[in-house]
Amino acid sequence: MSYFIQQVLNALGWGSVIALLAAGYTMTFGIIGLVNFAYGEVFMIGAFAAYFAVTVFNLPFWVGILASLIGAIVIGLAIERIAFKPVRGSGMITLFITSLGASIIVKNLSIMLFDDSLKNFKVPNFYSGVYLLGDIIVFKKSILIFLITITLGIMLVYLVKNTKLGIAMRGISYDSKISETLGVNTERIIIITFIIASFLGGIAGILWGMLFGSVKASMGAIPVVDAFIASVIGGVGNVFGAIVSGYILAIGSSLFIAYLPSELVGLKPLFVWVVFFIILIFKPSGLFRANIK
Amino acid sequence: MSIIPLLELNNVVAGYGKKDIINKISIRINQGGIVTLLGSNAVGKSTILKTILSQTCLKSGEIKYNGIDISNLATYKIARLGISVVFEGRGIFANLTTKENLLAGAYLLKSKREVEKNLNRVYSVFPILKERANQLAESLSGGEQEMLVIGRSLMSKPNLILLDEPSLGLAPKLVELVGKIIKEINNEGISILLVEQNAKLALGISDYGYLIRKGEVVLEGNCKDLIKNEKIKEIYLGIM
Amino acid sequence: MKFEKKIIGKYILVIGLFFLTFYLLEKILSGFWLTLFLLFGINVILAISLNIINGWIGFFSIGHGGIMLVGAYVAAFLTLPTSFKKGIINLHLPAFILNIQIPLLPALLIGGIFGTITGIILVLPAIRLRGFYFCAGTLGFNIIMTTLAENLPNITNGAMGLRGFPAYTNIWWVWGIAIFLIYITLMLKKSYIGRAFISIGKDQCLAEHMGINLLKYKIYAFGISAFFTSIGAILWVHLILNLFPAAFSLTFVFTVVTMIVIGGMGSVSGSIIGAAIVTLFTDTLAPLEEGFSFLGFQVPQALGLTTILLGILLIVVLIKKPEGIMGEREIFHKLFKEKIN
Repeated sequence: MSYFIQQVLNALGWGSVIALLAAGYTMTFGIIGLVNFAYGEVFMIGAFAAYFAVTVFNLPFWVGILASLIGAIVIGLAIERIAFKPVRGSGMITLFITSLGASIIVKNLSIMLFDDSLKNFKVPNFYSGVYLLGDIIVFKKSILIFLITITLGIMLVYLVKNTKLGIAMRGISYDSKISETLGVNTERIIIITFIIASFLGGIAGILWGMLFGSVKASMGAIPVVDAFIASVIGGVGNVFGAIVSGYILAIGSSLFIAYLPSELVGLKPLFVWVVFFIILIFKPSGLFRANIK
Repeated sequence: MSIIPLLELNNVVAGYGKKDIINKISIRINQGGIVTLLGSNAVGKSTILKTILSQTCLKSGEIKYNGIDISNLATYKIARLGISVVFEGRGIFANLTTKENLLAGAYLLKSKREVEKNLNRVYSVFPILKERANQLAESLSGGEQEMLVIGRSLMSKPNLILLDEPSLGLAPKLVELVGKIIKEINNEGISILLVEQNAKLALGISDYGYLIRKGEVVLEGNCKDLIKNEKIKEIYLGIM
Repeated sequence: MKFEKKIIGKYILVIGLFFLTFYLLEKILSGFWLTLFLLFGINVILAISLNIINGWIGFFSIGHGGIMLVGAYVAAFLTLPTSFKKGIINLHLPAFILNIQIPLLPALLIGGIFGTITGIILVLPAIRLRGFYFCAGTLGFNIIMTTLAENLPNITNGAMGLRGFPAYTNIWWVWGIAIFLIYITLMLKKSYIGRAFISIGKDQCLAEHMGINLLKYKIYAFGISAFFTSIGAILWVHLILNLFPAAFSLTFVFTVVTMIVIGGMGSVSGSIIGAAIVTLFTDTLAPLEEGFSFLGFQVPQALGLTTILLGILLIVVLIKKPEGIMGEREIFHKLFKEKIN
């Protein structure tokens, strides 16, 4: 039993990162039907901006956070303006391909400039250390990351459910023409959505760096896939669903390999895809309510 | 003393892409009036409404609101001028609750108190909406959805409401109710542009009417005269 | 009688011309240019076969890497020298495989068959999933296959991959198959089967109402596409002489996708043009990545530059001319029509 709990707790940190990414992912997925493969690079740039500020230039950690948010938002908006806005309305597949293209460009540019090795990510001291509950180990940083994510999650869900902005976003997700007739400036709301999503990506990047102590240029490749699957499972456009699904996928993956023989550990990526196919066959609209037509 | 019409279309030609659906349409609505556009299916009535909202391709002509040219103004800006619309096929947000749909209608209002006030007003006109406030809009019946969109259009305290076939698909009792409500709304000072196939309903509540055929105005006049008109009687034989 | 002789005569002349061209090219072209020409040919095969699914029947797949892995590994088991196979401790293949080494043609056919079976498995998601969700499913398929290949070292030698391939690939195989494929797809496009494919791509529901058996034609399309994709992959492996699980990952598949998008997704000649552009881009510019000196300046190493430029090219095409260079048309339309008659 304690082995089970240990696995679940181990996955909390990683699950939080995926939950945040899934929330940002599902927002843009819902509002303009964009499956944003380049979101992994927004995440990576956020982490790298913090890395440069803190590890390379030795600036205080709060500057790192600021750098990460600015970096993520700038990249996120740049990609939106250059690769997505011109093809808006051309269908999900076209948007997906341009996002693939943008992802490859940003990723390879980063590998070119910074090479694809692991960079050490410095963290303030009080984040390290563990708590012991019986024979279960809990990392302090996991708890912190979990709390930050839950707080952000609650704020996001409140935003989407109870504010004018949230109603506008969900309205545009369903039908942007009707929303316009109610006075909603859809272009502006879309930009705001991208800013929020990029913000989440940046935070997720920092949390990842804190969790694993390192970042690398190709770090976005796997998380972006997990975030995508979580947003499909959670119901497209549903922020709450995405967050919950992010945790489900992370904890599920950890339990999956925990109970497999050790040579098969490399099969971890398969878990999320198996869940993906099962959901698409039995409940294609997702576990929670989707926000699109 | 000449009054500037609230809304005027002058020789408007519009359509989607290359095809022109409406051809040199001229229409006028005065402040406080109810004007109806009559005609059978697919003659371009809905297109006229969509053109006012800049949702079609305006080829030539002009649209003026209170004397200001709004011919190519962005849809959301037109809404901000105080023009609301109730579309055919309901146009509800199926993924939002009844209350959220109404709140969406109040998007342009700044003050929370005003939103609350308008919400209660709509609830008093349509009590069924208050009952279904937290239900998803898609679970409402056809008649309830129609009330929802009319209610939603009232939330922003508009000056002019464009109504696209509100009676479509409704049972006769509901059609009567809708007619009564439209009249009530108008009595409070809101101008109405009503697009309808149901001539009896439309002519019964409107002041002025235009008969549209093949994208053009073929007949216009005060509704009391139109009701007696031979051509109208001929077209709507048996229904009036 | 005379009329038929004329047609046969025409065909013999054309085939003879091809033979002559290949012979001359093989003599004239030096190492680098020959390899480039071979890569071009392989890319043509991969592009045209991918186009059948993505362009004609309209199911956008980014998972063909999985098919390539199956075809390539099966062929590899058969063509690798027995000494090599027995020398790898991890490999636990059946004895009869370890003890044989066969030439290219049977390897192509057997690998092709296994690849085709894998490809037809993809028809299953194609029945239920539409549009983008099918695309996502194929992404999953690619990742699943790559992960399996990495984690079953008993079969594939895991991430370390396989080496020691005999250099079977030459201009005759590559371009012979490529020309053959071009010919049959052009014929296909005008035939009932091809037109059925395209109508499924345009509007699946409508095609069904017109009496087209969707399942049957999807199986045909996936089958043909997978067969030639596998062949292309096998030829590739016997050119670059190594094979490892990540060889056909998303990056590789993306390159092929770029070819058909640039060229035009409904067009065979488009795929050829797209393959030409991409091959030129990646393989002639590749040496530049190492860094070079130009007019006295030392331009630094820029790994991945060609991939970046390819990505930019793709986005530019999608924004400016989304239907690609050729759209759905073929070049030499008139000549083409003449050949049918």
